[in-house]
Amino acid sequence: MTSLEIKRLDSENVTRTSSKSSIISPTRSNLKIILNSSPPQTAPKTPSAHKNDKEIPINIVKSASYAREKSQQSEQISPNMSLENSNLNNSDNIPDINTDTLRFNKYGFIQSAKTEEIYSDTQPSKTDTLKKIFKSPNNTLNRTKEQEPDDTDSMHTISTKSNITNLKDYIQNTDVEEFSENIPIKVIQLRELKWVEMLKNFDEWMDKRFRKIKSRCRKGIPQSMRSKAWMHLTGAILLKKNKPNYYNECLNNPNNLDVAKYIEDIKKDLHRQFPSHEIFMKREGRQMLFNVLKAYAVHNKEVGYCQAQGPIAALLLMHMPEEDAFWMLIRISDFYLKEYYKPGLEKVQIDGHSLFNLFKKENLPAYKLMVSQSIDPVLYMTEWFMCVYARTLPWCTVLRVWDMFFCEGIKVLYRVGLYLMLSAFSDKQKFQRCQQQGMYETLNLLKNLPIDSLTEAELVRESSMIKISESELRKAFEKSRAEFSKEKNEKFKKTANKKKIN
Amino acid sequence: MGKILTKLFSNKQMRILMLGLDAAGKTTILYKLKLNDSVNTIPTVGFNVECVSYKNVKFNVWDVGGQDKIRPLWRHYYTGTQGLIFVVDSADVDRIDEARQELHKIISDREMKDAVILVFANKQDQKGALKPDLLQDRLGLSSLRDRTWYIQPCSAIKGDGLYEGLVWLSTACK
Repeated sequence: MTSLEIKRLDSENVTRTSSKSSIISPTRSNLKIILNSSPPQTAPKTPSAHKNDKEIPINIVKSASYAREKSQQSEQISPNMSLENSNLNNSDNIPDINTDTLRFNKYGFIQSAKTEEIYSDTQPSKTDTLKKIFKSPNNTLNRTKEQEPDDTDSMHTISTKSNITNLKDYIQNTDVEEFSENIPIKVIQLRELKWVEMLKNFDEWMDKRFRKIKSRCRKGIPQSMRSKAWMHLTGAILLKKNKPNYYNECLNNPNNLDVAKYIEDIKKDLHRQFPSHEIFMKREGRQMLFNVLKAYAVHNKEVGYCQAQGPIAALLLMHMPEEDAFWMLIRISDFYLKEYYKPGLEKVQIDGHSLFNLFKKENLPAYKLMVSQSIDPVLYMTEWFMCVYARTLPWCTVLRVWDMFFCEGIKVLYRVGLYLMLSAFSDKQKFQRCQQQGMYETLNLLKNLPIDSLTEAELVRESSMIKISESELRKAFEKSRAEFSKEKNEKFKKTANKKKIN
Repeated sequence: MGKILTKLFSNKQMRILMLGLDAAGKTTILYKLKLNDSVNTIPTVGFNVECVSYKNVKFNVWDVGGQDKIRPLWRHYYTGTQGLIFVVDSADVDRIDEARQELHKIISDREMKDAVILVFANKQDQKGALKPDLLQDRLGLSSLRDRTWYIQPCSAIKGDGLYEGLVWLSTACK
């Protein structure tokens, strides 16, 4: 990207954002800050890290015995393995495993029938608690040749199949078909074509036909186009083009001292992030996760690593190569959820209060109940917001929420949050039980959301019906910020008084 | 009369808050207690809560994520807590000091002043794990005054020592 182009982008952004509020809707306005901070490039360079991406060989676990063997191996690998030195950017480094190597084209699934068969073959690990296999939601099985976008960028799409063993993610133990929307393949193909068209001239679309993009995001981005669309929606693609070597610089940063603590933290969590997903069952997958998180910590030392970023990075890696996941993580952590992962977590707490303030209008009795039981919003919303629902909703629904989130911003998290709260309290009997039994019951209700409300169609439809205007959101935010700082001041005074007395 | 007495005693409920540094084994302990099974855990960002019944006592055990970034949220869980379970990774010798600081920060909070303190010296099955008597000095428990506390060696994966901890909690809390 030339400096001229950057300037053009800036001026466009200024005009675009002047009409809309900038803290809430993530038009790509803030990009300019990041773009400007980097030295202007004279000529656009093609990213070199993923030269092999056009056809990425992906080793898929084929036989049940193999999967079991791998999972046992993976348990033996100590989390302290020396991760820093090896760099698996290049897919050449991934050792060939004696299973069939499937070749995926840019958008995945060229050997659809086979993939399907393999999925149904795959057996998870040895534990008895292993649950059903996830089929990738919305994937088009018969890929055609029509899409060959001219962009040099490429993604590999990996299914979001997972064998979740975690108790916590109870909903993810249920077959994904229960939650996914059944869209005819013809419709999906049509949508894909639309997205291909749109991505050719995305900047223009963003400027002139943002509403159309919004409605298409709400309908759901076809799985095959998802990673590419996310890169465009967030603007990560521009950042990547602008700084083609940045990821490797961060990754190979020799001065690890200032992030040493974060690196330790990341290592401790590597084997605990979607541990039964086929990607993260393998050492290579965990290495990718480590690379992305480490590179981010080097990029933003103030934030470093927050545990909530783990599932986000993992979910990104299920869809795209490391470098792209890195840029997406930067966009999410530094822009969409700015200040969310900073020490103190003030922003999350303030957003929690705003969510609760907005809930008052939606369901007053439940609001009053929660006030009387002094349930602070952080008790239920931290995981929702900080992990962008990656830990709360079934796969297919999470992806739909992310589609909307990257287009419309944090407002989507609010809408989904309000919807989840509303559906938790929709059952009158349960509500009465909460009144009688207290806080434990209420929080349990919010934690074990009614399963039928979590299907992608229902959640997207219903949450989109909840209207929050930007001014309303801003007002709620300002109010809770004032409350929060007041509370903080009082606490500070109290401790100061205590010290005086002592 | 007998009926009333049994009713009174069988309904004893306790609110327990389980804290500790990240990767100390809090979630593993919670589900070992609940299901008597060791599960693959994921780093806790929010909290987990389970009701564990043991000998006529219902423990509502709250397990909250322990990474330093998330610790500012701990205080929201303090209200109404009768017992604190503080989980320490006995084999993580380098971070015992950090654990001590966090423990003292928690128990000096006004809302936690009446809570009894159970320290689980976890991961006793690992090599190099500190023994409880050494650990209690390193954690500054021995010098605590006016507080009811107890240190219980345990191994969350094997399940050793966990129920002994609960028994102590049920007798210590009145």
